[in-house]
Amino acid sequence: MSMDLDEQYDKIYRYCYFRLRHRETAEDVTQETFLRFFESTTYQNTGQALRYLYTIARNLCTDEFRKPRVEQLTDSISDHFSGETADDEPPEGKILNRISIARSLSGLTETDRELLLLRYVNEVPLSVISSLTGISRFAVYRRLLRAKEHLKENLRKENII
Amino acid sequence: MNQKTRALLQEAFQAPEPMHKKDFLKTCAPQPISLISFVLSQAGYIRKRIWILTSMVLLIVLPGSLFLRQEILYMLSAVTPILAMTLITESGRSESCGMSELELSTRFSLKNVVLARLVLLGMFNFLLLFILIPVTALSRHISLVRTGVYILCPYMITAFLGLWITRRIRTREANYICAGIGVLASLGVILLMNVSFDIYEGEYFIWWLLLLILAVFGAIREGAQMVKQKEELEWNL
Repeated sequence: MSMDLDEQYDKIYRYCYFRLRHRETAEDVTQETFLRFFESTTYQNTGQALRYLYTIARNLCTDEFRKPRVEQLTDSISDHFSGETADDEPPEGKILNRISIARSLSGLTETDRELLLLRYVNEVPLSVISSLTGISRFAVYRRLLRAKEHLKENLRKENII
Repeated sequence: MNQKTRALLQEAFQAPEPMHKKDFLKTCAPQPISLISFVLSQAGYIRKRIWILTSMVLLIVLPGSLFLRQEILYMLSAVTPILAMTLITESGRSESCGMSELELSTRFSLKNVVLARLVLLGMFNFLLLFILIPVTALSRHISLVRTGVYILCPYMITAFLGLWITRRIRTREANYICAGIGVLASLGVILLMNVSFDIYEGEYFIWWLLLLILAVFGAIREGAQMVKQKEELEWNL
């Protein structure tokens, strides 16, 4: 297997976190994703590893949504910084900036946010996103363009760009 | 997307640090294994009798070359089909013994396992031939190329026929048929050297060469088809 597990762990965790909005649940789902991924060598040997990994993660996140809730998954923007110590705490301006960006993103649909995260943050190839979401590569490309325009518009409103 | 927007996005999608990442990766992630270690690990799964049989060829032919200077070429030509036979029967063992499904569910695919074993045994066979061909050439006072062609020809024909059989017959019977082919090829060489004309004369060399080329092409084609078949098996599971 050629992929860097350390790097992919962070990316899958980020993906799960932004879908579930709960730190512990996201980490549980990430670990479950990798356990299931290690169980099968078929996809790893046929060059489909990344596609397989994201498909497991996406399905597990969906399963998590379907589960009856015993606690609310309500991590707020402040939880983003809960991993940071007092020494590397970001300055106030940066926090305000992040809040503005988060507000701009919240103006987008859930699907658009997922596409932006996959393509521009996790750098997942278009072909993988296409098979993951079940829409054509061209449709993914167009939706990404639209999401980007929408995001830029929101960022302008927030005076960030 | 420009760099600034990309950076903003990456900042917006910054998740808190995972808490158990190191522990998880240390305990659950499969430890990487190098190609050489993997191939060598397969040596233990090849039956001991195969290693012994292959080594015996060297043990018989090397002293033989001292006493039977003229007959050593016939002897080696007659023995090499047995080497090819051991190689082929070993490659088809996982299917004929009903182990293929088990091997497919393990860490490495059946294709990788079979290829590793073939490479190991093939390299061992060629190492033996690498020693025996110069020894024979020196005993018979003929060129290395000619000796190589005479010895490799029965080997490659047996390998080609063995691969052809194992690709079509997937039961234990394939092993017996391969053994039969190996023995027939050996007997064929012994019979040919007893006929009135000497088939190892220079005038027949071109026919040996042609046969070798055809056998090599056939064996490569059958080998590639075999690997492809293992991939199909992987997808069908």
